[in-house]
Amino acid sequence: MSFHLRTTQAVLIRKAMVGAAFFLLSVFCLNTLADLKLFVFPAEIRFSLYAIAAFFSIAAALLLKPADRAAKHVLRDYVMRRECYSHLVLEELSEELLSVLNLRELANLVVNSFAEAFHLRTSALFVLRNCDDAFEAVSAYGWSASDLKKAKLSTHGLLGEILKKNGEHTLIRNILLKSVQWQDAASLEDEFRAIQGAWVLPFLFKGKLLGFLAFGAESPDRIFEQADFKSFRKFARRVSIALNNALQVEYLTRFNGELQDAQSQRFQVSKLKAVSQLAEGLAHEIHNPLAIISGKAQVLLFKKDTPEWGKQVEETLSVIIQQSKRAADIIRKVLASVRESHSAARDLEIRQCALDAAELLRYQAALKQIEVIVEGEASIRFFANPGDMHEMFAGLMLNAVEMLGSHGWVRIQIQAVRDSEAVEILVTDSGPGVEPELVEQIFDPFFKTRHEALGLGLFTVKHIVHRYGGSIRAESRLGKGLMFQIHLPLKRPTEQVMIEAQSLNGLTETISERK
Amino acid sequence: MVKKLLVVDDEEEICDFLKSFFEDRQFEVETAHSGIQAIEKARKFGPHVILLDIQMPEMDGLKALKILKEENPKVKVIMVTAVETQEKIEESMRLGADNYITKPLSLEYLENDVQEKLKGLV
Repeated sequence: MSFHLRTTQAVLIRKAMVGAAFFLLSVFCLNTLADLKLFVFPAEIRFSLYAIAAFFSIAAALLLKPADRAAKHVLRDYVMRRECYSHLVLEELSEELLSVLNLRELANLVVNSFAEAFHLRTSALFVLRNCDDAFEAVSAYGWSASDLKKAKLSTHGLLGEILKKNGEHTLIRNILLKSVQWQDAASLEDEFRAIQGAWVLPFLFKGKLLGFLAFGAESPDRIFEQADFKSFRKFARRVSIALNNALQVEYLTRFNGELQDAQSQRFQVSKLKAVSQLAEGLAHEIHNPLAIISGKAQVLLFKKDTPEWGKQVEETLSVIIQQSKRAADIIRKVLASVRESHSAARDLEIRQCALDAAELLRYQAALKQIEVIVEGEASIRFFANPGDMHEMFAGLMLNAVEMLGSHGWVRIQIQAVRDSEAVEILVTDSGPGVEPELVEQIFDPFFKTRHEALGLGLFTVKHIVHRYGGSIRAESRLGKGLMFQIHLPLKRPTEQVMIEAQSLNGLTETISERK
Repeated sequence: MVKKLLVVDDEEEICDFLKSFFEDRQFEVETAHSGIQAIEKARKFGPHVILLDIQMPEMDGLKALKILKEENPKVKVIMVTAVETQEKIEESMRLGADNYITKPLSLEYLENDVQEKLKGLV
């Protein structure tokens, strides 16, 4: 049933009811007096007495304010309490709001439904923005589009300050203007004009002001009553929850976007850095054999027509052949260090990979009296390319064996990381370790501590670990050897999905907490 | 007077051919394969000119250059290196290097440069 206390029809009905009540009351009084024989009047004037009573009843109903007000109260509070259409709309709307997570959608729904429910000419939703510096209009009803774009209210202005202190009560322009000094009233009036509202309904969430609804444009186009304000407050509480959720979603979305940008940027930078490092190292490595080839040839050329010439030709040529082979070797190894294996990935028992790699090194290690120890649960499985895993373990072990020189041990420990789908591989050795300031560089291509090495072993290891979405970290314990810590996710969700999952988790918490 | 040259490079082959090239030109040549060796040899041998590689194990050429120049500011140091980056050139010049030559070398150019550095010294 739709019923309204302030429509013309409702007022007429109310007045008629008041009149009828008065008339019945007076008829009852007259009859009582007659029955008690206190006052006897002839039957012929009884009718005109009723007529007089009816006249006075109508007059009282139309003119007597207290009677009208009392009737209104009775009707509103006891008879038509649930039937007030606007309030019903608000209540229905507030139920609906909780499922809306998009800020703009939410704002549109609030301003449009609110304005329609209360027959308002304008309404607009403002939200705290710019690091809490100003309220900005998100959506408005009955505004021009250009107004919406520039509508702002500073939090440091008079109205902003009042809003902060005011709490959840609706601000009413006319009352507020009368309560301040005339200098303030002028600026306050400007601020009300800017937000195009005569009433301001604040939205507070856990005591924090999130925004407000400004409605009723310049001239108050209708008057609200106590019950309306009560229902506004109830509505505002629900809107605040929805608004808070929507703001959080908006923040997370924006934050995610920035994060993804930063990530892809960082990825590009690190990729570029790796490429330039590789190129620089390659240039250096290739220049040495080239320098030897060209130097030897030049020296020989200078010796032309000397007795030494014939003797040196053979030696120089063999050096040139040997150095060309060396250059070719370097190029081949560089390519091997960055190539992706093309064989198919499969479900592997990760400990077995380590054992296989250790087996191949066993002979070389035994010669140097180095013990290779592999520890770990056999149950940990990993979906990967066997060649990659072999290369990773072999790279780590070879590095340790070469650092050790002779006598000692290398230990590989494989363990599942509790509470997460990941595996941790710890590689420790009894070697001398490296200087702490060099730890940062050991994964760089062509970084080496011995002249004979090419310096690609650990670079390759890092490359493989990164390809599987893992991380690797080295720690040097000078005198106690090196420690490598590798973290490999067992399942590899894309970063995008991970971020989305995280933000969704956060969100459901927020919503359930609010409820 | 004998012209003394110290060749510092971790590649033995490079040291070898430079040694034989300069010995043919009446230089007295010593070689070293790391920065630390270079400093020791320089102390004992007292070279007029040092040919110094940058990328070497143990101690790199730039660190060695700093110490060599500190110990003997008169010694002429020519950086001989594979990679020429602007930072490395600037860094070595700042540390007092007298020239900067990249590999592969033109021995003729290198000899002219060494001879030029020796003018007024020997």
